[in-house]
Amino acid sequence: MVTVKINGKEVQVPKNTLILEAAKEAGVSIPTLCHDSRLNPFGACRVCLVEQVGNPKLQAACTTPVTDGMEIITQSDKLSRVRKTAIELLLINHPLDCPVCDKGGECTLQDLTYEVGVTKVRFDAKPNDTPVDHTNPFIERDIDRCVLCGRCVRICDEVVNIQAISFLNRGTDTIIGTSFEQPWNCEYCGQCISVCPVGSLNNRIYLFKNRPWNLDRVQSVCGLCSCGCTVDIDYEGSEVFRIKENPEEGINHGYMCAKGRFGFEFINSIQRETAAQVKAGGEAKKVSFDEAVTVAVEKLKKVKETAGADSVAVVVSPRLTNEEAFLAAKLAKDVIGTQNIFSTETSEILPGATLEEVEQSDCVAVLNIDVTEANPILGLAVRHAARMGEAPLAVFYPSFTALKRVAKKFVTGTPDAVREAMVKYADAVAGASNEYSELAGKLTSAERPVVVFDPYNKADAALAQKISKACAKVKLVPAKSKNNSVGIVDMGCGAKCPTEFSKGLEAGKFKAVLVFGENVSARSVWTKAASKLSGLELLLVTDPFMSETAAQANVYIPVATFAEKDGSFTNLEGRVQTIAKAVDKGVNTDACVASAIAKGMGSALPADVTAVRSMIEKEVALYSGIDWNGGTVSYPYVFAGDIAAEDGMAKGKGKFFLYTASLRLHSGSFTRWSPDLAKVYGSPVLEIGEEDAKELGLANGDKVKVSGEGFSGEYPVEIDKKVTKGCVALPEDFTATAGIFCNGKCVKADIVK
Amino acid sequence: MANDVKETESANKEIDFTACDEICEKYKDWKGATIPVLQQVQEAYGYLFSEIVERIADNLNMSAHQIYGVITFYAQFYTQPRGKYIIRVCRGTACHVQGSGRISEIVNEEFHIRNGETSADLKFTLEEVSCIGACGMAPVIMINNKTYGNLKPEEARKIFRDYAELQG
Repeated sequence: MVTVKINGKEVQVPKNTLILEAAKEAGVSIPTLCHDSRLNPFGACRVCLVEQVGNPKLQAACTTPVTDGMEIITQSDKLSRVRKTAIELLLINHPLDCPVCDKGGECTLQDLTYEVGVTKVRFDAKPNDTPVDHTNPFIERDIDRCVLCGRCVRICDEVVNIQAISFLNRGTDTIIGTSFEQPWNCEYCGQCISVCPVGSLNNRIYLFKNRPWNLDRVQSVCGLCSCGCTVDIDYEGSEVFRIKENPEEGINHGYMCAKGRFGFEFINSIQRETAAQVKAGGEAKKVSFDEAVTVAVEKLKKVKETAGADSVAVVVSPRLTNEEAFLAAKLAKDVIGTQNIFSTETSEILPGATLEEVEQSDCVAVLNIDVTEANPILGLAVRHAARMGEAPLAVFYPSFTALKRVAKKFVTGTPDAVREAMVKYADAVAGASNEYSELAGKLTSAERPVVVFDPYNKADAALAQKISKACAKVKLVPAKSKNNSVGIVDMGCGAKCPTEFSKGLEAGKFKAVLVFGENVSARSVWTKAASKLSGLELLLVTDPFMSETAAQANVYIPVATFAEKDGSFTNLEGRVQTIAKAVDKGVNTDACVASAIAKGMGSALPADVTAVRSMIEKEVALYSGIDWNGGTVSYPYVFAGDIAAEDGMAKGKGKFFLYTASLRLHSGSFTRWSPDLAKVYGSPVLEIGEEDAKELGLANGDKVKVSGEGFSGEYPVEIDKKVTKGCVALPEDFTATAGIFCNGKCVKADIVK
Repeated sequence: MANDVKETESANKEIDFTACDEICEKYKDWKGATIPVLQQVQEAYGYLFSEIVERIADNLNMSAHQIYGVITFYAQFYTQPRGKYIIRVCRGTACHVQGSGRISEIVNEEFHIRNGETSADLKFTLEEVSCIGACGMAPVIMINNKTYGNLKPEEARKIFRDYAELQG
């Protein structure tokens, strides 16, 4: 510890603390522009200059570490003049188009100009005047407003590790740009927007739609993937205008991904249904919520009387909140009296590590999952470990992913070859001697090893289990897919195997099915049986949209999205986080639906979050006394039992390996209703390697016929040089592709132009 | 301009990356290898075009954008094709007084190129440089590594024409 004096106030801080942090400790704030505490010190803007007693030179507070006995002065006439000049110099080239700039009102440069009191620029103003760059679908780049603080370049390098933008040229010609002025193509995470202190990088989804001072804000949790990022929802009236990072709160350090930041438009979509529908004689009729519930209850009662409670099934979506999932399960078990509760999730695999543990890990292995696309913030944690902590990172995946740049070892090949490599790696961890022994040795000798895997791929899970059995200190991260994949299982919606539902449907066992928010037709495991849904006595579907499944329903009730309700989600760490209602779109929540049906059936279930939570705390042992604002559930196990060892090899016949592609813009079928995401990726596209495309004579966008055992379809192709020869990839979770992967995540297929 | 280069390169059928790959392989596990790699690749290919930069990026496991940042920072790297003969016209004070401006004009008259430009047949590039340290020979020019001093305008023209007639 060293002692420093800031403006006469003494503070004790650890050695090597920056002056800026020491000042913060002393309760003194120093203006900054280029500084970001998450990034390495840079010192580009000179706004944070301070005086050090006994040193004639001014020091940049954001780059200078304190020394013992240092005396710092942060306010003086000299400093005021210096800071004012620094801002004046920036304003020479910075256009003063604040009235039409999206940043107006929350611009650091604007605030600093006000703070230091620049009323007139003494120099000849020469505002830059270059065209605005719109090559990125989500990020507008107005290079004229740039003050070259370098935060965007640094965050893209130090955190995201994509390095999609860089400083170009030198001296006064310096600009932020791309290689050979190519179109800006990146992961679209928008981290650069979040750190831009001026209006140089703007969110195109929010562009020119509102002014920040008109917006109200609630803190909530993103409702798309399982990372559970804390976000701020900015809204006015009943419209969500943007979803913004919140660096102060939560587990994501203010980082977000493309779908989280730009994919919220489905909330405001005009394609959303507002009225319930009841189908009679094949014709849909708009009815009120109460009427729809009455029809559903009547049918439900009839089925229960004639065919018994066991002929009723309840399907719960992992999009629901914990409270809603609990109510749905309770409705099934206690009110209807059926154990047939299904979801795509199971209780076989539960969370095993936190994101922080991944960040702090000293050796990470990623098994057969494109984690930066599937769970981007978990991907950032892996990158952090691999880059900042220099953790040896081993990745197994059929094609190179964004982790290539930080991985010590990246094993690619056909899915079968990757499978064999992973088996050998797991064997090596268990003590066998083979070519992966050295790599495995790094994992076993590490102090805080982490293995990330795809829990939906049983063969991968079996390998992860084998590794953890051989090396007990390995922390496992099953990368669950949806926002509440973990929570609905905790609430009792994951006890049954998902395939039992499709089997029951096909056997005609179910007469009434209540679907809470799930799009059954688009799920690989169910899609083949989904056609049986339309013949049911009762198919109740709740969904914000008229999904493929909802279109088959005889009772459809539109419901709220995550921005329109209170509740909680449990993320892939097993962390329970509260979500908050921002807007009201005039539709009910799934909780209201469950509660109304229970009432119709003659039982009382509360829909109110507080009441449901106290029920959960009483009835769900894992959640008794849980902190609903960020508490982590202590799970008894990661693997419920031994995962049945599958060989995991590609099934079927064909020349190509076809495996599931992870998409950064979609997690499931929900985000397809966001027009700007759909513009970039709207329908399934077949990824194919350069060589194969050449052999087949394909160009980007050409349509090909893909066929294999039990499926065939036509898709446009996208040529990606990263895709391994002999392999192609298609996304899951689209009705057009769901049927392909019903027997596994990798199959053989033929491709014809 | 950058796009033009790209088009001509891809029109020029397949690019042979062997030399580039060999250079990168040599420096693969070095830290701070970017500049030597770029220098040697430029030596081998004449200039750094977008395909070759992408290739270097892939080989060194870096981002092409970062490498382009390095390329544009240093005056020694070129992203445009360069002529077989680089004509460096000294524009330092002594040469200026001795009429080096006229020599630049003659280059333009002969080959229709200005400072920094390359003739369409890729034979000549004109570079006006600050001082090459041979003020006693003012006005002085260099053509590749050969120096010509005390030039009269018409002598310079003759030298240029001689070079233009050289084969290859």
